[in-house]
Amino acid sequence: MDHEQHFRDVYEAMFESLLAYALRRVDQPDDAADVVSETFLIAWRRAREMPDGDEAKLWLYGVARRVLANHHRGGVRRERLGERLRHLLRAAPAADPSVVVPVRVSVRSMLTRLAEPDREVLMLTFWEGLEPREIAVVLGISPAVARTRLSRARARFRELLEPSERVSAAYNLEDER
Amino acid sequence: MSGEQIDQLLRDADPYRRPEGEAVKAAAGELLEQIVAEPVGSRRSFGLVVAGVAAAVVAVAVVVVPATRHGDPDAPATPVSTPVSSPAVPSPSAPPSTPPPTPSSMPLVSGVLDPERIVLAAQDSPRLTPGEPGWKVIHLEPFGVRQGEMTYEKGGRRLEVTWYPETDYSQRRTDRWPSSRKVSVGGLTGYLLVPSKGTFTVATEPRDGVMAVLNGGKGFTGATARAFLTTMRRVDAGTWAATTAAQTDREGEAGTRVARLLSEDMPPPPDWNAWTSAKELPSGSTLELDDALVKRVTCGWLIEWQRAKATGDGAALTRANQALLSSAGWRTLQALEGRTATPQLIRKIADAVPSGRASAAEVQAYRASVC
Repeated sequence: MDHEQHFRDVYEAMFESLLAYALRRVDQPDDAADVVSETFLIAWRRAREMPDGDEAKLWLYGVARRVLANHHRGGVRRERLGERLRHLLRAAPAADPSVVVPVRVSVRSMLTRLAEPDREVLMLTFWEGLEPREIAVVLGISPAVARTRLSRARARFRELLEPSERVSAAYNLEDER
Repeated sequence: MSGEQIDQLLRDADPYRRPEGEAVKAAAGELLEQIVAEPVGSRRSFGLVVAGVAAAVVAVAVVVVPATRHGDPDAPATPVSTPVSSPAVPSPSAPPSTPPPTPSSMPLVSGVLDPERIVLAAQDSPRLTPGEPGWKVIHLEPFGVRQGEMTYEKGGRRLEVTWYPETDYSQRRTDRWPSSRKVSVGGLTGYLLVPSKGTFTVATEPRDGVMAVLNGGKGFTGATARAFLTTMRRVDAGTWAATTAAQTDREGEAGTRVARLLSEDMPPPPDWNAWTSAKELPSGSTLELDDALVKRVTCGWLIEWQRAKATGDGAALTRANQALLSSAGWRTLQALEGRTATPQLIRKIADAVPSGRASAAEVQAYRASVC
C-alpha cells in the first residue's frame, strides 16, 4: 500500500476520534479545527513513518498532544483569512447539552482541579477509551508508570469527590495505629 | 460510592457529542483533499482548510470542555532547554545549600537519564529523599513552577511525593483532620493521615515557597509509616540530584526517553516493537542509550532496505532510503558528534547505501556494524 492510501485509511478511521480528542481539550470548538488540521498535516508529512493499525491511533494521539500543547502556548495560528473566519465563527454560540446535567458539569469542574498529568490520564482512559499500555505510548512513559498514574489519579479524583468518606475512614482506622 | 460508580461518573462526564449530519463529513473530506494536496515536507500553512473544518465543527454545536491549558506536561520541555540559573530561595532552617547542577554539568556517563528533570526537581521540590536504602525512583516529572511528582518503589511498597506551590497549602493541608498526627519529615512539619489500611498521606507545611504531599501505597501501617517517615531526609540541591540520579530506575527512564526520541527525532524502523525493543537497549547512561538507539534505528532501516531490495518492493526501498538519508538531521546523532564513532559510521551508511554505491557485501558489513 502506498503512503497516501495508508494516510487516507488512517484519516478516515481516526478523523472523528481526533476531533473528539481536540474538542474535549479546547475552550472554543473552532480551536479544535486548528488542532485536528495541524495534527493530520503533520501526519501527512510524516506518513511514511506512521505505524499501522492500532499503533497509528496512538501515534496520532501523541502528535495531537504536542499540537495541543503548542496551541495552548499560542503556537497554532492560521493565515489571515482563517483568522477572520475564526473570528466570525467565534461569535456563533455553541450549545452545551451538559448545562442541563449539573452532575456532569461538576465532575468536569473537579477534573480541572486535578494536576494535568492526573487529568489527562483519566481523560484518555474514560473518554478516549485507552488502556494503560496504550496511554503509555501516547504520553511517552512506561506502562508501569501509566498504571501507577491512573491508579493515583483515580484516588485523587475520589478524594475530591468524597472528602467526607476519607475522614470517616481515617476515624475508623485509629485503632490500627 | 464504589470505584465502578466513580468510573461511570467520569465516563458520563465526557462532553463530546457525536456530530450529526453531513456538514462534518463534507468538511472532513475537504480537509483530507487539501492535506494530501500539500507537498510532503512543506511547512506552508493552509488557512482555508482550518476555516472549513472550523465552520463545520461550530455548525454541529458541540461541547464545553475542561480546558487543559494549565500544567501542560510538555511545558517542562521549555525550561529544560533553558539555562538553569535561579537556585531555590534559601531559608535559615534549610539544609546547607550547594548550587543545583545544570544539565550540562551532570556527568554524561553517570547513569543519569534525562538529567534536566532531576535538575528542575532539585530546584523546585522540597528535596526530600528516603534515608532507608533500597528505594528506587521509577517516575519523576516536574510539571510546572514548584509543581511536580515522583514515585519511589521498594519491594511491594510505593511512595509518591508530589510538590505544590505554597499557595496550594490551604486546599491540601491535612492538619485539620481530627485523626491527623503531627510528624517530622526531614525536618519539615507534616500531618499524617492513614485513610485506609496499608496507606498513608502526609502534607507538609510550606517551606521556601513549596509544600509536599507524600502518599504511601499498600504495605504501610500507621506504625510503619511513622517509622519510615523518620528516615526521610531533606538535603541540599546537589545532594538531592546526585542521590536521585543514583536511585533512578534506568530501564523505566530509558523506555521513556526512547519513546520520546522516536516520536520527535528519528523514524522508528518497521521492525521496531514499542513494547519490547526499548528493553533490549542499554540504560546505563544517556550517552550509551542514545548511541545504541541510533545504531538500532539504522540497523532496522538497513534490514528493511535489504528486504525491499531482495523482494523488489520499490515503495519500501524508497522509504528505507529516505529514513537513512534523514539521519543527517537527527538531533540525537548530532549530539553524539565527537563523543562516539557512531556519527561517522552513520554518515558513511547514509552516503553509500541510498545512492546505490554500496555493494551487497558492503551493505551487509554496514549492517553487522550497527546491528
